[in-house]
Amino acid sequence: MLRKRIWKTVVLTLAMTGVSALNIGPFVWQIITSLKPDRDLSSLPPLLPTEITWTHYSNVLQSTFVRFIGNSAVVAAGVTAISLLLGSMAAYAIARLPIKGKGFALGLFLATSMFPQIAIISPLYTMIRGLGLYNTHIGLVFSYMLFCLPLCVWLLHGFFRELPDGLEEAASVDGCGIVRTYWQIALPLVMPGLVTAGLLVFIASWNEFLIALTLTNKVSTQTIPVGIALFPQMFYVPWGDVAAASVVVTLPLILIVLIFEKKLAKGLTGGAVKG
Amino acid sequence: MKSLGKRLVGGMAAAAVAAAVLGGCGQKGETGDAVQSASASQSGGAEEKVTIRFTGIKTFGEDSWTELVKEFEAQNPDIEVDVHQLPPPSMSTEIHQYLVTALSSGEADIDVFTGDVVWVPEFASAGWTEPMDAYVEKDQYYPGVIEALTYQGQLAAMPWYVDGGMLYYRKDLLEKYGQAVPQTWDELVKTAQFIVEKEQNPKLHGFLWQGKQAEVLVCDFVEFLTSAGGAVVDENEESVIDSPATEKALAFMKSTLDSGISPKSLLSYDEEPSRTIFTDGNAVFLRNWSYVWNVAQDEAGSKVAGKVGVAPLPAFEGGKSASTMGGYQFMVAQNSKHKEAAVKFAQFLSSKESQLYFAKKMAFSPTRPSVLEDEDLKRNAPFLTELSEVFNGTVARPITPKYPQISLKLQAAVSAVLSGSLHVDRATKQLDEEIRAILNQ
Amino acid sequence: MTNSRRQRKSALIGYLFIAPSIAILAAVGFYPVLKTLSLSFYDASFLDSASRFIGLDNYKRLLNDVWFKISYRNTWGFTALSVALETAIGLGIAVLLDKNISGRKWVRASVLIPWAIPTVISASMWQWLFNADFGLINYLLERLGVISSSHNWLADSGSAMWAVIVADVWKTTPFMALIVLAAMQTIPEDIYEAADIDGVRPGQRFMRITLPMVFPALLTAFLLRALDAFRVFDLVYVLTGGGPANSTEVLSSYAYKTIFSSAQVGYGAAMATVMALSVLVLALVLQMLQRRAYARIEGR
Repeated sequence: MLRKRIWKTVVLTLAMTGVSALNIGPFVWQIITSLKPDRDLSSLPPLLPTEITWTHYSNVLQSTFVRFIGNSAVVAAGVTAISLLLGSMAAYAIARLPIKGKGFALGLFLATSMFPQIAIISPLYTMIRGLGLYNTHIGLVFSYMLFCLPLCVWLLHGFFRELPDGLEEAASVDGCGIVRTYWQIALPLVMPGLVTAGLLVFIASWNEFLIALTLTNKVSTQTIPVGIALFPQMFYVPWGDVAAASVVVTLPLILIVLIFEKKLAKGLTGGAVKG
Repeated sequence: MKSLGKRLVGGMAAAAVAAAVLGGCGQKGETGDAVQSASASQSGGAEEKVTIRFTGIKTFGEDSWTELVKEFEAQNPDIEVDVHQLPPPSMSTEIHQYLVTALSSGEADIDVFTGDVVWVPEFASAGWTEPMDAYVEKDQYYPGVIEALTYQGQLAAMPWYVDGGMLYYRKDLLEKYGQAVPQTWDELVKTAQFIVEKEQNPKLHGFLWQGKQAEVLVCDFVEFLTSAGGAVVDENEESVIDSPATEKALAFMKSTLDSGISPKSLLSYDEEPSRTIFTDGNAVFLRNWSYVWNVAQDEAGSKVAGKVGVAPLPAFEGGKSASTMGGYQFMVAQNSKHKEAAVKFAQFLSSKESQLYFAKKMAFSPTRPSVLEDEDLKRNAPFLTELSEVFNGTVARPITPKYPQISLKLQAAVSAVLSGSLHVDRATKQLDEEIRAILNQ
Repeated sequence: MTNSRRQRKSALIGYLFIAPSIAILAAVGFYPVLKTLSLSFYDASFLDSASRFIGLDNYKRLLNDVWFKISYRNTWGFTALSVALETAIGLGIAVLLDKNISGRKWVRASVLIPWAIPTVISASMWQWLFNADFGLINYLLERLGVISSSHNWLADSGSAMWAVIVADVWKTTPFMALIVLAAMQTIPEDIYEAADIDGVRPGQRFMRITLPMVFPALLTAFLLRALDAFRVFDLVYVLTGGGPANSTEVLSSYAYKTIFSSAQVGYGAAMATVMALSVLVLALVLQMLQRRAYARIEGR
């Protein structure tokens, strides 16, 4: 029995290490690249830098790139907050409230995601300009709703469905109306779903390029991917700087994941119905 | 409880409305022009300050336009230039996409912008460019460039810089084996094979160029084709691609891959991957643009600094060396609200002083031959003066608004030939059909 | 309050809850989508503000467009293979992360990294990894004896698509893994406890309890991923540009070139519409499967 337990732990640990390695590997390589002097950048060997240089980081951090990070943070946070709030509301309604046309609503949320983004970029541009939202954070947030809102609705609708049927009944017995039930009871119960959707949406907005390029033209609103596109000089790509930039922009995301990681965990649904 | 929900919804609705209103107030200054000049006149300034919007590609440094803009504004205190920096030429399709989206919407607020030389006929045909004939002394520029920028008899852009494909080679290796710089493609192949054999270095490639299915493939192809005496279209915009010269060029390109002097991975290489292998010391010959010169000589990043030579590209036996004309140019938007100021700025950017600035800063070849007479430049960038005939004699890709469509067909067909899925003669016929169809639309 | 009044009130709140989302989507998506649809019936071009109504001509042209057919085939192939692999691997990773092993927190954070790295950077990373001369993949495969000499992954029209799929699977498996994991986390512990008491083995536990319960979430993730995969653009464009010889050209990249390089907006809009319709069929099929899965769970 003990042997089996040890064996199982070993296998699992190996598997975890393998998975981590595959996921982190390329990122670690980015870190290594960002520390290499230019000469070493494109050949392999050597794998490790012959000497550690911090120039790439200082290049990135002393430039306007920092403003791009700020812009991305604002836009991504805005998109995440709004799409989680509105998306969870819509998902809750579809999953648990007696409205008509649920299938149709879900379908509608999917419909806008069926058109390739590149096809709607041009009309989007015209519309955003017409609304006076060109080169504004709000314009970007608004545009990103297009693919973030459906994602949230679809994901959260599934999670809400899984909640026990008697939830609303039990809550109303305790004196909670629908809105309170949604806000104080249902939402916490689907926290893993919220965190997952939030992470996915945040990262998608963080990394979106084409729409950001088309709808902004000033450093005051341009986001990280546009900033990265501005790194090369003519054709020459400063790989060291780009690697440093990629490390700098990925670290906050990792931090966010670590912070919210606990909310992904089990234990919140445990006593829901019994209590 | 019910009020909470309603309050939530109400609050959000209010927020949404507020956001729309705030956004709509154009606080970022997109209605800036009107606001700017209004406030300028309100402040009772002596002159009406005009703000023009310049959409320019990034070329070097963080903000490639600051110095020039400062200089211009100092010379013209009544004009202010607002710069929108687009990505550099390595992202040319995205730049094209942005310009096309913005200019076609009719409300772009762009006064002066930069575009690739091959886009000029296209933009001119769409009516987005202001004719520049009255503002330019054409004889001050390379005639080839002026021709490439002329659409239906009108000059649609002001020349900026010209780029051309050239042959980079390892001076040290050629000297070591007593080889001369090749004048014909055959010589290049023989020299490359000889050196690679002798060097016994498995990593060393003979000849690198760009085979990725992208615009640069067309550039390379046009060079091989023209040096074989062929062309894609003639002066009457008729397809002449169905010719022995095309078959010769395509066959040669394929042979470099088959014989092994060029690596098959070339089919996924554009400018930078091919350049990197060369500056790492793993190639004898490289065809690439002029930007490679500075990069190759920079010891910080290049392992072959000081060992690189550059020459005009070889030709086929009996043909003439050809270099594809590249380079971005300045255009004034047709619906610009400040044409006078815009034209002034464009003229400034295209002036001898500005071109000298770019030549010194970026080794951009000027489109004004007179710039190359500058003594300082001759000393510090002999590269530009020595290769002036290359820049002067660059070959334009088909000068037609339909060029982008033609380019896509060329990219697909040539890539298919190189990867072995299309025969050279079939490709030639197919291209002829496709190009005729496009031009006759 | 009577039951029916409460029902009506609930329904009203439901509509209010949905309203803002629909309003926003209508605002942001309505105009672009409708405009694209309508453009597909015109010979619209960026270069010419006047365009004629040509009915279904664009669509007829698509039927004869070899390049379009190649892209269509490539896109379906890419979608099917990528999403299948991502689902299998994502499910595996989720199972792994569901276990209570120390260090789980870090592994979970690491799982998101591929998704977090900007596409333009991960694409260039993969270009280096797949490089024939000094790429890590060839190096490892040769060492392990899987291949005899280094292969040109991206330059060979036979293998280029596989390289793109590998890069995509690496990047988006986190998406699947996270969604499935979250679904797994909401399975009440007492069901597992009851199964343990009944002496159910781990394998059976997975097949009979875990898998059916996460199946709806899995399908949702599958659907969302399939929609995304079908519309893939960034990765392909940066990694290969659609080449060599159109072997990696997908519908989005072809449509992009059509609209923004050739300026043929109407034709590109027709492509986009065909894409949307194709994906609609897929979505309907998956939704039907999902409904059945829910029925099975809720009937339990």
